[in-house]
Order: sequence, then structure tokens, then C-alpha cells
Amino acid sequence: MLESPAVRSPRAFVPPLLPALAALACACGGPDQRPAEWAYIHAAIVVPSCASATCHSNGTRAGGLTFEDRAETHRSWLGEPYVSPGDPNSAILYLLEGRERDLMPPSAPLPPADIEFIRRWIVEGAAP
Amino acid sequence: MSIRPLLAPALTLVLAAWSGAAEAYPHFQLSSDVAICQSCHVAPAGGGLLTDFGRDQSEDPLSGGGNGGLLHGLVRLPAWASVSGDVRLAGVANAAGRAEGLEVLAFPMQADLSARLGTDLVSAVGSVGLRSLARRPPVQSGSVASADPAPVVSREHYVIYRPAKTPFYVRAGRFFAPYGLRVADHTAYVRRHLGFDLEEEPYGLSGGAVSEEWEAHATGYVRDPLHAGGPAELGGAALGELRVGPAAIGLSARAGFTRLDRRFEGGPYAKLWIEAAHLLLMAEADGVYQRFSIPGAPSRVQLAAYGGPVWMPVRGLSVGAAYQAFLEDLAVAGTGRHAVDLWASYLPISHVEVMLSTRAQRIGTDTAWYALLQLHYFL
Repeated sequence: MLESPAVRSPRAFVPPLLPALAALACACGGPDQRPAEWAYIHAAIVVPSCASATCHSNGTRAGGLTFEDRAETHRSWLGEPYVSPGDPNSAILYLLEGRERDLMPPSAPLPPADIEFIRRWIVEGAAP
Repeated sequence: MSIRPLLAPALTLVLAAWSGAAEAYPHFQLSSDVAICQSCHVAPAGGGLLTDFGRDQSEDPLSGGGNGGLLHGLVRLPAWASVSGDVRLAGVANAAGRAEGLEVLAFPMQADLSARLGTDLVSAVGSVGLRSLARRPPVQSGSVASADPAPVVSREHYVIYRPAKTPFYVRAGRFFAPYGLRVADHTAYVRRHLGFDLEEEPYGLSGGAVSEEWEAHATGYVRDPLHAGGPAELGGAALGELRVGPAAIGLSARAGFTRLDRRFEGGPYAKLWIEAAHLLLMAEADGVYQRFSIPGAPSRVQLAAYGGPVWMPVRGLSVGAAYQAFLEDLAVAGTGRHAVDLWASYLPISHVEVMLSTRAQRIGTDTAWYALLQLHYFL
């Protein structure tokens, strides 16, 4: 499970532009220490990348699938099954990597680090 | 396992991702006869329906000539009404990510009608367009019940009030809050990743002032989860722009609150017109701070940037290049994407545009590219 929230530092609210520009200058970033938890993956990757208005939103439901709700998305991913818990070659990864041409998202592929992040969650059991 | 059943949804999403909406061309600011977006557009911050003056500009200097009036001047409407429309046909060659082979597609990209009814003081503005002309994919077995998305959508509809002889306005309805450069391409990183992608227009109440030297806009909005995708969002945005000679500099900020996160974004943008070279330089950089409503989840800082020149050597021809970046999480290596765009747009006469655009992307360690040809006609 995720840890309890830390006490919020005032520095967390520093205007984001300066650190962002500094990071662009070095284009750096460290090893992936994000929590391989479904709640985080859904909020940080699935919703902004997949649940856009013209794709898997409640309004469009491309292919009959909506990814806006966390629990419903988990059910549909495991129910199809796009995700087989423990299987590092789950179908969802074929889609995200475009291994058989049908890349998802089609015109804005996920960075490989995000795909590996999702693979880690699947290998660790794909818990909801 | 076979994933063939998933091919059709993928194709549909390709087409949906490229479908378009009527937008402004921000490189026409400063490079044409005017520096104020609302001189040519009904909307106070540009985009969409043209004013009569905007139609005149579409004849000269922005195209090779012709008559910019409705249906080439064949129809004249009373002053209380304006009507326009946009039709785009497109062809795309797409080599995305690790996908094998090259996708070549041709499809109707846009079919919109827009109108304004009212006076200089108060008017109602709206557009209706086909939502998607892509082939309909089969519903996945075992998936949730699918409701057919409406075949038409109104991406914008609002009422605007402009007190006479003042720079002020108030508008309410569905529209994008003025933010950043407002580039026409909704797949530009500063749009797609900052909440300004296709059909993401929220409902809002906006007020501001527009003058020759400066403009300011403030918007409060509610993002409609039924139409805009993603969770319901309550937020606000502000933009200020100052124009000095051939330059414009601006600052934008936006804050959004959903059940999933709190998101703060903002940054500067600028344009510089170099008359001697017929060259417009423009750039935008935005930082994003996102805090998730998940106990213990790390917050993240993102960066979106866009910048490059647009060269307009002769009437009707614009040639542009741009570098783009979106760093999804500055704390995690390999989550960034960078792109180089090259494009050319030619308006041989008013109403008609041919545009070729290409984008090469570096996403993490992968590369992707596409080329898109558009044929655009506006009424």
C-alpha cells in the first residue's frame, strides 16, 4: 500500500516554472521510483493519456471502453483480458508498444518508461 | 493471444485524434495588418468565426486574393448575423512509436458550421460540427455497454456582452479559456498536454479587456465530464498580453481541481515579427505542478514548451518550423517527449487552404513521425 501523506512543505507550492525550466536545461530525471499502484497509474497515466474526450471518455467510449473510472477501468482491463496479472507480455503491453501495429494511444504513444512502469504493476500482480 | 479485434478501435482513435476544429492561426497576429485577435475573430481571444474585417484580411494580405465574403461574396447577411463553416479533408502517413509499417489514411477531418446572432453589444455565438467521421469500431466483448456518441457536437457556444466604447467584455458558455499562444494544432504539446485538446472545451464565465497595447482575460470554468473527457474539473485561468511594436509578450496561468488531482500550470509566451525577413518568431513554455488526491502518491512537475519561426515570404504562403517538448515527470528519466514540426500552408485564394505538416517525435527512447496533408475550405 502507499504510505501516508507526508507533511506538506510550503516549497511544494513554489511556482512551477523555475524548476521546470531548470530541468529542461539538463533534460534529466532519475530512476523510476513511482509507486506501482493502480490508483496512481490510473490518475497519472491512464486518465490523461487514454480517457481524452475523443477516445476512452464516458462520452465517446471508443470501442465500448471508458477508462475514466478507476475501478471500472481495472475491471475492463482484466476482464478482456488486456491484463493478465503476473504476465509481462499482457495484451495491453502489445498495444502500448505497438508490436502489431495497432499502437495505443495511436498518435501520442506513451514513453517507454511509462510502459515499463505499467509492466511492473502487472508483474507485481495488477492489484486494483 | 490475438489482438486483431483491437485493430479497429486503434484506427478509429487515429482518425479521431486528427479530426479538427476551427482555430485561429496565431502567426497572423503582428504579421498582418492587425495585432488584436478580436479584430478578425468574433471571440475576444481569437479562434473560430471571422468578423467582416477578418474576411477582408483573408483576401489581402493573408491569401492570394479573391472575395473573402460569405460564399465568395455571393451572400450578404444583415449586420446582426454571421455564418461560416469549415470543411477539411485530410490524408495522413503515420509511423508511430514501435509500430511496424506505415499507416496511410484519408478521411474527412472537419465539417463545422458556426454562426453569430446579435448586436455589437450582445451576441450569441455557436458552432456545430460532425464529431467523428471515422468508421465505427466494434464494441469489445465483455466491455461496458456502449452508448453511441452523438454524431454532432457543439464545441463552442456562448453569449458575449461588450459594453459600447469600452475595451471590456463578458462571456458565458462553452469555450476554451484564453491561454498561451493558442496554436491551431490541437495535437501540439502545449495544447494536448495542458488541457486544450479536441473537444475539451469547458463551460465558463470569462471577462476581460482588449486594447491595442494590451489585453487581459480571466476565466472561471467547469469541465464537463460528459463531453470533455476526464473527471469533472473546477478551475480558473488568466492571461495577460502586452504588445510593444512588433512584439507581444504574455503570461498565462491556470489552476484546476478534480477528484483525482490539483493542477497548477503557467508560463510565458512571446511573439516577435521581423518585417525585413517576413519572419515571425513565437515561443511558449509552461510549467505544471500536479498533486494527486491519492494518499502517499508523489506529486509531479511537468514542462511543456513550443517554439519556432514562421516565414511568410509571399501572400498566402506560410512556412513554419517548431520544436516542442513535453516532460511528463521531471523526476523520472525517460518520460519526456520532444518533437520537430515542419509545415507549409498555402492559401491561393481566400477560402481555400492547402496545408502539409510533418512531425518527428522522440518519445523516451523511441522515434515516431507523421505527415498530414489537409485541404481546407471555409464558407
